Amino acid sequence: MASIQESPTPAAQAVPPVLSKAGAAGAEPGHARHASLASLRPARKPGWLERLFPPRRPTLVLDPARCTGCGACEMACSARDGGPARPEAARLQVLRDEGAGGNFAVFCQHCLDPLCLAACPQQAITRGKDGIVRIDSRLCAHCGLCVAACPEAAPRRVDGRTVKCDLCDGEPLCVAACPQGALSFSPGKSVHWIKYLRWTVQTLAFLLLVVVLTGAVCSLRVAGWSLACPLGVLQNVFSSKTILLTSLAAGLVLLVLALLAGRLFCGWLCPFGFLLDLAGTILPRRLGEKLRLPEVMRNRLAKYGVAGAAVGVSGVVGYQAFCAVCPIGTVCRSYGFQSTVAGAEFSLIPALALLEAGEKRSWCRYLCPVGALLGLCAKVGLLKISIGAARCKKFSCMRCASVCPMGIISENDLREGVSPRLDMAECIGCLRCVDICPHGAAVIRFAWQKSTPAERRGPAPCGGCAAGPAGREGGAA
Amino acid sequence: MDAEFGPILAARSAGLCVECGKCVTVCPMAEMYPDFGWETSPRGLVQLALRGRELLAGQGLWRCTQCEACTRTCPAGVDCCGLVADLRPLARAELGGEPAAEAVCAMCGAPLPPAPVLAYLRRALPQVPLEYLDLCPACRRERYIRNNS
Amino acid sequence: MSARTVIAVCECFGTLGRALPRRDLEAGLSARLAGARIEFFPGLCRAGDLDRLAGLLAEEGAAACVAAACSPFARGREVLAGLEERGCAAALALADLREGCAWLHAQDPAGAVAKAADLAAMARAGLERRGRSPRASLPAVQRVLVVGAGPAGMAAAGTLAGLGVPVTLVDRQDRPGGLLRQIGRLFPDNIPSQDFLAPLEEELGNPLVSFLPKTTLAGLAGDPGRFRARLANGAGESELEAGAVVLACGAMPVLPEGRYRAKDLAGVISQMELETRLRRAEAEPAGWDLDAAVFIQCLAARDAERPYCSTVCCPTALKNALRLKALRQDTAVSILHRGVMAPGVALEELYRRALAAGVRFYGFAPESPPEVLGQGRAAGVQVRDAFSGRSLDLPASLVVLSTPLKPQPALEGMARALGLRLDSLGFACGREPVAPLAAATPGIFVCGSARWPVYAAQAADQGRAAGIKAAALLASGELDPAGLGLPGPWPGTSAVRSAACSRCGQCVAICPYNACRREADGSIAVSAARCRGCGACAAVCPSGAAAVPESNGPSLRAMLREAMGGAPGVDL
Repeated sequence: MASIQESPTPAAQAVPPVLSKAGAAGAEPGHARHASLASLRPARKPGWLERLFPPRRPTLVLDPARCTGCGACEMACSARDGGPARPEAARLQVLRDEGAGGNFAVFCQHCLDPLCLAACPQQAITRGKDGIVRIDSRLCAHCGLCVAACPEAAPRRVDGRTVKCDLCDGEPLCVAACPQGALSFSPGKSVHWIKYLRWTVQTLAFLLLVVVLTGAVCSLRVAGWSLACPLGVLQNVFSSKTILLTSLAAGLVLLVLALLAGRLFCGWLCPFGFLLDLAGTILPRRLGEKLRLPEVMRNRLAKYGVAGAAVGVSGVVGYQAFCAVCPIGTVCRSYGFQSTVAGAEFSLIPALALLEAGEKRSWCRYLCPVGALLGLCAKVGLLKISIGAARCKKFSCMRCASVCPMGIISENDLREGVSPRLDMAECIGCLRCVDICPHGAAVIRFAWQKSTPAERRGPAPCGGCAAGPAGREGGAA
Repeated sequence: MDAEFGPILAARSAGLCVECGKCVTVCPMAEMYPDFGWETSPRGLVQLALRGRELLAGQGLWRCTQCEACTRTCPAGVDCCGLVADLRPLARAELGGEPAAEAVCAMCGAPLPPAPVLAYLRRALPQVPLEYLDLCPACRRERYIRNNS
Repeated sequence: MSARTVIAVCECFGTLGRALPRRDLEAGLSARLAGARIEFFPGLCRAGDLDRLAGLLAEEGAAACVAAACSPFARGREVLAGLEERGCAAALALADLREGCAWLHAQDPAGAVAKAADLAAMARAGLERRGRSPRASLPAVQRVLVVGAGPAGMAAAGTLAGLGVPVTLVDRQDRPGGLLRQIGRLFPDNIPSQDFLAPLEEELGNPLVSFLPKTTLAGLAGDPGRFRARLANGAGESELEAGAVVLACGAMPVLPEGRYRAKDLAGVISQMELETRLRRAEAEPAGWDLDAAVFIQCLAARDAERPYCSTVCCPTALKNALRLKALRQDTAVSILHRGVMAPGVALEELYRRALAAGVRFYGFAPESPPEVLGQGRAAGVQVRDAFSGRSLDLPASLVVLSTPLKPQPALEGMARALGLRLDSLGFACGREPVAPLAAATPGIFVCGSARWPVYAAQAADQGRAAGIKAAALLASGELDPAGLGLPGPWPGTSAVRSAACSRCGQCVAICPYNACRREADGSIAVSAARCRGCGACAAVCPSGAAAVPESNGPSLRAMLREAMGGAPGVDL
């Protein structure tokens, strides 16, 4: 008998591994049919074109604040084929619970990487070019495994058959039927322009800070204004045991920027960050398996340690110790090769760049002391990235999590159906999540803006829910 | 045949099976399990039931997803799906609970698919923690809305 | 009658004009056939032209006429027959100028004309020495002998009597009905066999039917239309003349003998014995207490010795299984089979009814047959089930063995006497596929299980068909040679010139149709009804006494001389 191969499936449309067993001895005729079907739909990784221009994500969006629980959507859906309106046969389900905080509707999210598609043994579920996930009733055996696989059990078993929302092929009846306008149809944003802006700004910043104004990050003096790396200032203070107000002021520039705009410097201006981003796009994924930082170093708090050590060592040795090896500074000062330590610090740059094949921005996550300082300010700063609960499609999308270079968007949260909260101390403000979110769920918020109920993330405290937060934490990862 | 099986076989018309094999071609178990063979196919389960109690100890009874595709397709009128459902309590009694101490929903106690079916789901979706598999669809929806409203 | 020959040339409605241009043909023919009158006709197969030709012949008083037309397999023979019908006294010959000449040599008109002249000259040359077969009148005795009074024989006799043909029906037993007398109910509808036989028996009441019980066919001699049958009964032998014979002697079941411990265990019985038990039980249901029965199919069938499926044993088992269930609902009935043969809608429904009644079917492979277990009495059957590959233990107090039907042993002797062909399995053959109920010997018909195992309704249908065929044969009072399969006016049947015959008997030995026969006084006579004109007797006769007159030696030599005489190296 063939053994089941537990191959790691790529995120996009993957053929379930259990299908690779054609020719098992004693196999019944059902095998042969599906083995040939499998060959018609090979697993495909998204190509570079698809990554540049991701496909549309049509979906329904619910505003729970407007939902009155009238059930008109269920009626319209179940009556679609001309029969009587039966709410229990509708493809979306309205759940009425005033006590828990309102009414809600559960409907198929038309996931990018549908779990029902992977679970279907008959390969009856497909995601069309229009982005709609459909069940092919000719192939469907009505086994109900798609219902079991879906995190919100969106497909329904009706009269022994399994049905699923198909967005009425682009003009959903439930949206038209909703008298309160709680349901809306979002075809999904297809133009993601922020990344073009960012790459442009990064390139210009690199040219400016490295080529034109070499060493600008470390210290810059332009027309009476001075800017200095805050870590450098700190090291200076401790090594020289003096505080100069002008240098303090210079060091405060970036910190004030962080208070206002988070770690925007890291995402848009840092020249080393630019090189890391470049390396990340060039390096092949396969290298990532072997190139990882050792587990002990992969701690977000490590960078604070590095910052503390830098300052401490500087205090001991009497000069800015870290600046000698700082890769940001090295890059900044590299034009013309004005190095301080015989070129050895240059070796850090390719080493750190290679890590990009594995976890992106590993340097920024775990090691960068400058980022640590900026992060402290960002945490208490004004800028927030908020991923709104109502618009966020969570497990059905998860693009923000896949695209975030700092890895601060929790995929587990998303899979549990909870919109994640971002730690602004880690967020480098690259806005990739805002860019890629097709439903406008990820947005920039400033501290004075109150979040709307639609943007709050759960879980709400509930009574007697055995599998609520406790279940989540207690469950095996 | 013994007194337990006889009424079940008669009620589900198991004797009408002519071994044509149409149920085998529509059964989703064919794709779910690499060792799907004649013993675990719907046809095999019906024929084994006609020949004795041996199938109560086997895996086949528990892999059935109860989708009713076999019953719908059978040209002779055998209710294979119902037969499996009726034999499950007998198998449980005979084996004292294993292999499918039937899982129930953690919130409402409704029956969940048997362990082999859940195992298939975990194999099909290895990258997903699937912690919600211990909930029935209704409770899953409840928890989802509680998380989001 | 003048010595003039008329050459009647058919133009086949002008289609032969390109290969055989009329003027050239006429010139060629008159050059070759001096003194003959050459006439052209547009289409000799048409009645008008035939009338004209017949009139011409009468007018000329011609002694010979060559119809230069198409092949005898096309319309040539009809031309000759048409002339004969119009009472032509002239000797007729056919020259094939169409298929044999014009069509072959369409590109070579000169050669075609020369060949046409050759063919016509040969035909005329052959005519001079050609004889004519004795036109024996073949009176038919208006009686049909039907051997065997099973459903096939009864149906045949009834049909014949209904058509007004006297019938003699003989049977080995004292009553009609054959094997059906032992069978209580018939599949697929479970009707009592008595109900099936009753209408057939009623037909036998027709005064034209003479039923001879306890009589067997001891021998058959004679020719189609006048067979001489020797019938034997308790009182001795008698002779019967019949114009045709219908063989409906049926088949008999193979006995299980010692197989599956039939001899040493009580409760292991044959299907026929089950019939008897069931009949008794159905008449008196009280006291029937069978709790489990197992049928074993394909006993002594589909093996090396008997490599055929007997067709009727599976439906019989299904029928009897249902009868067992009807007697007692909770009897556990299992049928062990090598494939359930139930073709056709009615039998498929019978199978489904058996399934619905709870009969279980288990297949086994021929190399692992079931085993009957028990001491003194049958206790159960152990079989390796082909579906699951496992050994099944089926408790049973009754084990029924289904055996095939085999041909009657008497059939072999009869076949020799009748000149009947038996197939490799010993069943009587018809002339498949054209005339499946007609034996090779004309006037003899085979139907029912003597031909192949069939069930009652099929046997009756075949019997009716055979009866109709026999009646058609005898209908005109005289045997139509065409009805016997003999050819038309040409080439004819053999004749033996007793003056030249040395009575060596080689023609008798070689004749494949038993047409050449030695008479009581030692001379050789040819039965016109059986002779096919093959000419084998002529080939072996050392004295040239046997010959088919239309193709005798002198005539053929004359044709050859006409064709090749004068050619160097040819010595005729």
